[in-house]
Amino acid sequence: MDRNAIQEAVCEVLGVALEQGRPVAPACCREEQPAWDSLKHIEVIFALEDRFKVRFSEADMQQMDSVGKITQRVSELL
Amino acid sequence: MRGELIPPADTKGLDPQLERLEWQPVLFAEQPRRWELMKLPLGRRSRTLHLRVHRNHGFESTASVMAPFLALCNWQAELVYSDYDDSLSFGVEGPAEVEIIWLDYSRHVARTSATEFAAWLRQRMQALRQLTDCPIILVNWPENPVYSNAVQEAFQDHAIPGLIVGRLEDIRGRLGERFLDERMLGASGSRLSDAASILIARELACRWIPAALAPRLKAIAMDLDNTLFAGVLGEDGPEGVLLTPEHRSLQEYIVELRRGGLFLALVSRNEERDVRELFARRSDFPLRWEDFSAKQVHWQSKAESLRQVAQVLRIGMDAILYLDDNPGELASVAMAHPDLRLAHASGDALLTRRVLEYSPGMWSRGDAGADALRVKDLDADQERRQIVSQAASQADYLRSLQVSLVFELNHRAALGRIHELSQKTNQFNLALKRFNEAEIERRYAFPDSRVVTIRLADRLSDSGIIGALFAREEAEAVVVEELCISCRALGRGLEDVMVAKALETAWPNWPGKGLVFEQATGPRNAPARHWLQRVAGDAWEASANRIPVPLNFLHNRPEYALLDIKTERIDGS
Repeated sequence: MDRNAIQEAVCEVLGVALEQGRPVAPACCREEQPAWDSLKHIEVIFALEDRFKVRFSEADMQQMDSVGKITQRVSELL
Repeated sequence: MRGELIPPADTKGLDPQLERLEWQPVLFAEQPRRWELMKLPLGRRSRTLHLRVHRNHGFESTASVMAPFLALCNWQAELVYSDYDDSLSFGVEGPAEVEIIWLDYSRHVARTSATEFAAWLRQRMQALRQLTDCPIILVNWPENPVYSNAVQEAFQDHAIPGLIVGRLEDIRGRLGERFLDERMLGASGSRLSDAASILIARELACRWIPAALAPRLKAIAMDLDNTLFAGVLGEDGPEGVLLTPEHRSLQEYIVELRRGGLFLALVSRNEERDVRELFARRSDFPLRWEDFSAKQVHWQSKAESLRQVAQVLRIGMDAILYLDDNPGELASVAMAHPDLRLAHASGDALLTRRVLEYSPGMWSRGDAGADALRVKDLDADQERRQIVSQAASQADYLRSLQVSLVFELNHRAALGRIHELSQKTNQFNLALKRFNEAEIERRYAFPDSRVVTIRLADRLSDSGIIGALFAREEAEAVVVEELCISCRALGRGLEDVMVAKALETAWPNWPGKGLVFEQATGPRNAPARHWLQRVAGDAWEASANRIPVPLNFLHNRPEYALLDIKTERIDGS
C-alpha cells in the first residue's frame, strides 16, 4: 500500500468516525476538530487498527493527532 | 452478498428491514470488525431509546458500536452517563428506559471478598429498584470468575424484578487474554479490548436490551432447500441433499430452540410427500418432521403460507422470524407482512446459526418454562378440537377435558410470566396496559390492589399460567384495570369462569361495591372487547374507558361444578 493510498484510507476512516459524511481533508488535525475528543480518539484508534491490521503503542496513540502523523505511523508499521 | 439482497425497485425503501439483511455477514460474523460496522449506512431509525449508564469505567467504545446492532430493531440510543463511581451512588439524572450497570470489578476485588462484593452489589441493585421502575441490565464483569460467579449466585433468586444479569463468560473464554487491552486504560478509562467491546455491544443490543423491552419471538418459520441443508430436494432427491457439518450445527440449534419453547414452522415450495420422505429417510437430520408445529408444504405463495402459520400457531405476524435463502421470497413476504421479522439463510450455515442466536427477540433470560409449555399445549390442541367437534354440549366437552384451574393471588415467583402476559399484543388484553416487572411488584404492596394469576391444565396438557387479572378497590367499585388471557386458553368457553373466580380469589368476601372493567381499543383485542360487551349487557358503551358489569356475573353457574378449581393465596406482599 503506497503512502497516497494510506492517506486516502486514513481520511476515509476519520470521515466516518467523526460523522462528517465524507472523507476528511488531508490537512485535518485534532485541534481543529471539536468532535475528535479523547473518547472519539479511542474509536479512531480502534478503527485504524482494524482497517490496517496494525497495533499502535500507547506513545503512538498520544502522538497521532493529524492525518499526516497517522499516515506516517501507519506507513512505518505496514 | 452485497447486492444480492437488494429488493426489486418497487419495494426499495418500503422496508429498511430488507436492506438490513445485507448487513448480516458484518453484524453476525464470529468476531465483527469495528471498521466494517462503522461503515454501515444506518439511516433514519424510528425510535430513540434512552439508556442510563452507571459506571466506573469507560462505556463509550462499546456504545459506539451498539448503533448498527440496535438499528436491527429500528432503534437508536441516547445515553446519559454517571461519573466514574465505584460506589454506585446513582446520582445521574435524565430520562431512562433502561438502566445499565457497567462495573469493572478490579478495584473492588482488591478491597472486598467475593461474597461481600456480591452482597453489596445486590443491596445497590435493590436501592436502584426503589429509584426506578425501568429494566436494569447488570453487565457481570467476568475477569475474576470467583467474583462473577458470586454475583450470578446473588441474583439467581430473581428477587429483584426487571433485572437481567448479563453473562460474559463465553466472550471472556473465547477471547482469552484478548478480552482486555491494558493500553486503553489511560486513554479511554476502560481496559476492554476492541474485540470485547464489540461482542458486548452485540449482547446488549441484540439480546439483553430487546429482552428487557419487548416480548420474546414465539416462532421461527423456515424454508427448506438450501436453508436446512445444501441442495434442492426436488432436484437432488432425499439422499442427494447435503447435511454439511455447518448445516448439522444449524439444525441442532433449531432443535434446541424448540426445546426452549419456540414454535418451529416449515414453509416450503415442495410436494409434501417428498418432504415427508426426506425426513423419514434422513435419520442423520437432527430436525424431525414432528418437530414442526405448523407445516405449509405446497406451491402456494409463501406470504399465504405464513398467514396460515400465524393462524395455526395463534400468534401475531410480529412474533415470527422467517428464514429463507431466497432474497426474492424474503422481499415478497416483507411486502405482504410488514411486521414479520426476516433472516437470510446464508450459504455459510454457521453464519445463519449466529443470525438466529443474535436476532433481537430470540434470546430468553433463561426461564423458558412457560414457552416450552406453549409448544406442548399447541401439540395437544388438535385433539382438543376433535373433542369439541364430537361433544354434544359444552358440559360434555368440559367433562371430557377434565379442566383444572388454579388461581393464585400476588404470586411473586410468577412475576416474569405476568410481565410477559401484560406485554403481549394478543387478542385478550382488555385495557392494553403494559406493566413492567417493577410496576407489578409494587401492586403487591398496595393494600387495595390485587394481582391474580390463572393456571390452566386439562388431561391433554398443562398450559401453565395463561392469565392475569389486575384489580383495585376504589370507593364505589372494584376496578379491573387489566385482564390478560393467552390466546392458547381461548376457545374453550372458560373466560367467564376464569374472570369470576379470579375476582373471588382477590376478594373472597366481596366488598359490597360495584364491578367495573377498564378497556381500550387496540388493533387485535376485539375478542376481549366482545367478551366484555357480552358480560356488560346494556351497560356496554364502545367508546367508554370504564364499563360497569352486573354483579351476577360473579355468581356460580352449574357448569363450574364440572371444573376442578383451586385457589391459592400465595400473597407476595
